[in-house]
Amino acid sequence: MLMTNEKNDRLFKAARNEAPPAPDAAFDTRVMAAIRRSTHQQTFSILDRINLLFPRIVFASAAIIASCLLIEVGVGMFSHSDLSSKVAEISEQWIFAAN
Amino acid sequence: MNDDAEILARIRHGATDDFAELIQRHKSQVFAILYRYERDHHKLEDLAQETFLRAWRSLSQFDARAPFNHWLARIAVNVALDHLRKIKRQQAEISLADLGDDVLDWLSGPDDRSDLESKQAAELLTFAMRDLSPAEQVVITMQELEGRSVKEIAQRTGSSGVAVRVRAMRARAKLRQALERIQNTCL
Repeated sequence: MLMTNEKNDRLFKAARNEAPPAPDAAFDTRVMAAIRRSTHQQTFSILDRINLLFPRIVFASAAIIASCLLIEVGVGMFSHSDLSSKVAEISEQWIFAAN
Repeated sequence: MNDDAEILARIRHGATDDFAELIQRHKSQVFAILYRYERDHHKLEDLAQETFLRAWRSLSQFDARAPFNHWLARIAVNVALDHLRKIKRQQAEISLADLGDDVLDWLSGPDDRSDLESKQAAELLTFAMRDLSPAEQVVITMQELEGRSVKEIAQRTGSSGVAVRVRAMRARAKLRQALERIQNTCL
């Protein structure tokens, strides 16, 4: 069976008359709240992130420095020379070998 | 529309809460546009909210050359297009059985049967339109259900008049084929 032009048109005509549902009473409030949230995020997101990130960066740096110092002290206690002189010695040998 | 211009001027001068007035004035229009593409009320509200959010974010780009409601309608159409692309990927949400016996009887019956109810007709069209691309769905909806001219559709979709005509022709042919396929399934 073919879908005739007339039947097609009648289908469109019937569908055209359908009324859309009315928006909820709280719709405006909800949209405004979403707008405020998005505005707040847009304005403060970078600052907030830096503020959140900064103490972590400081803490991470302090932890790295402290662990380096501990390694230095530990290596110094178990060997006669300290770590920096060992590193200098190795690098001198390497440069000498390369030349 | 002068009132819209006044509200927009107030918003630009810092009265951001006055955007609620624009929502109040235009929400029915936005719902009417989006309801052609999404029938679930919750999803429809989400799409309407997305439309107003996009309008808010790009309010600085509104140059008032066209009335505010035309500009907002264009945003709503873009939101609908994005939504159709998304649900196209997720595939069908309604099955043939969901349409109901009345609709299937009407489709497979003779031409002189009484018309379908508007809700049933809209559901049938939504079902059949799944075979169309999102752009074709938008064009055929605007042309046949909203009664818009090619020029208006071109303005609202940002396409050329020729592209709209071609899409409308292709959409009508595809829609007819889809309806015939449903007819054959019913027999």
